[in-house]
Amino acid sequence: MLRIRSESQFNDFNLNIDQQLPTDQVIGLFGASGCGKSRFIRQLIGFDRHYQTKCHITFNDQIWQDTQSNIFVATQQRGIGYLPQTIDLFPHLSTYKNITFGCDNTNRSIDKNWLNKVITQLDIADLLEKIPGQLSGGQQQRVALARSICAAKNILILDEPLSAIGEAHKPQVMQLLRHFQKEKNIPIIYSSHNRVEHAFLTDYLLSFSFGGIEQSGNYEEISTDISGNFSQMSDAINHIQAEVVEFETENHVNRLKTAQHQLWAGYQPIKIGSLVNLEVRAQDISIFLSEADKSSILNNLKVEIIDFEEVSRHQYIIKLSFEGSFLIAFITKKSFATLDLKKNQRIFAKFKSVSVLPISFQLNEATHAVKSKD
Amino acid sequence: MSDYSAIIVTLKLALTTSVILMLLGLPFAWWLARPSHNSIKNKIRPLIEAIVALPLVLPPTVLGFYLLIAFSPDSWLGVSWLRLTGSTLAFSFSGLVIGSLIYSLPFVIQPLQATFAAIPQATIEVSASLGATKFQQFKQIILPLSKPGLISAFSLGFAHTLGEFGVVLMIGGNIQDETRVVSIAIYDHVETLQFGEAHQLSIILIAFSLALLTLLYRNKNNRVGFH
Repeated sequence: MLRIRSESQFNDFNLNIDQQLPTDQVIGLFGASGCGKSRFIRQLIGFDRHYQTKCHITFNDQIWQDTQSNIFVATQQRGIGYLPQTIDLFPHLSTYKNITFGCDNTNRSIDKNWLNKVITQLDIADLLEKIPGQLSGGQQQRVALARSICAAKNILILDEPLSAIGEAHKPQVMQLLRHFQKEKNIPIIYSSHNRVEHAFLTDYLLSFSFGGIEQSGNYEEISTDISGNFSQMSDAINHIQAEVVEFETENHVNRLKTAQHQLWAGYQPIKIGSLVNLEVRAQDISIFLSEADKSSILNNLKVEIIDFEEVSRHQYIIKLSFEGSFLIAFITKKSFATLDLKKNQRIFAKFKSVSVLPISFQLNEATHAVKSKD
Repeated sequence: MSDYSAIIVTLKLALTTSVILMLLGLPFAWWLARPSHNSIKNKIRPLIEAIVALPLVLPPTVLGFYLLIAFSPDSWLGVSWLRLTGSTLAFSFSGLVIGSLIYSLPFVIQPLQATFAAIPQATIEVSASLGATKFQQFKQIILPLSKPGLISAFSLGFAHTLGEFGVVLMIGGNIQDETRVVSIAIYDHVETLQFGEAHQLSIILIAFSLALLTLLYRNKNNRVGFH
């Protein structure tokens, strides 16, 4: 359990935090730039003390900070691996020396197995002898990520870790992080304003708005809570877990199945039997009153309306139950009125194969299976 | 023979001065350079920076004049020194060192301050977050990143003390093996129309200073850049 209670007065705003976080999960911090994600992270690390009026942090029964009893465990003794948004590699050290910096200083022997895994997965084997000035922005961020992973003993703290990393590297980096969390069983604090990253990685979500944390809780709960801000944003994402049944070679598409449905998505062959989380934006789900005979939309789900809410003057958000889990969909107020939708009504939700985000398939099927078992 | 002694005295003075200035200057310049949330420090910092810079603008005679007063056996400094060592500060090598420390102060402090200020706070923070203790932060991050600045500060302090004249003339006079430095020796030679000897010492000083500054600028161009 990670307990943090703090009050800080910054020049431009006040940040009050009162959270109890799990220490065996990925904790995602979501919110627009400037609403306090990095400030939150800095409190955990032990920075910005002069802004604090009160602070209490307990990490698994170990008190890190308590202003009342004047306890302060120095940053360097907290066993942190930290990747700042600004990357900040040490410019005078080689890539390799940067990566091993945490272990070199704390006299911990480096976990060779993980070091090799990190170097391979982050694709930095060729960069080890170079100094940071010779690397591109994306390369620097991958090296800094490796540095933080290798230093993390109690907790891994990542502030926008994929912001400069190219699309091609993102899936394997995200897999690596999920794998690391499972194997080391330490918390990862993961700050990002990218929903796709949260959809894959985050177990426990803190959703920030200006002035503090607006929603906190299990990711699944918050992402399908239609009265919350997190799901009401236009880029909200659903995920639908399905098993790959076959690759239809003549059409170049995967056929997948859920408990009661068949789905089609992905134009590359995936290992048969693997579990995939199909990520579909809430705005890409269309509502049909009946199962229309023929259309170009391949995926057709039988769902029931659980709840709905007006999110803006022209738009409704609808919560649907689908095989025991929930989906959300955005439709216009006009469609909502035309269809005359009601609670508990059984309807059809459809989405096109092409609207399934490619990242769904780029991510390793095995790691999806791990997350789904939680 | 007396010119040879002047060269030795000059080098000894420059070395002593720059070593002491480096030792005192490191913590002092660090204090000046690093951002602070302490409002008192932020208020007095400009004044302290101005005091450090004073020797750059004042004529050496002003400095020499007050030093001479401070060195006199009537002043507390003069008296204490006399009690401690049994000799006076004025017209002694130790007096010259004290004068040079003040005279060359900005040449050491300013490059040190600039180099420390250029180390991003975030770089130091990250090293702490990755487990580096204060000592490790200093040894592994701050020291290597400020190496070019340290070399600059030492070389400038050394080179500037080599060329000192006015203050030495005021507080040191012209005592062989004690306070007769190269610049005084040259002055002396010119006064007595010994142009040959004056040439010899001047050319040595020019060559030495040129070599030192060339090394200094080469070091500057090789520095590790931030990005």
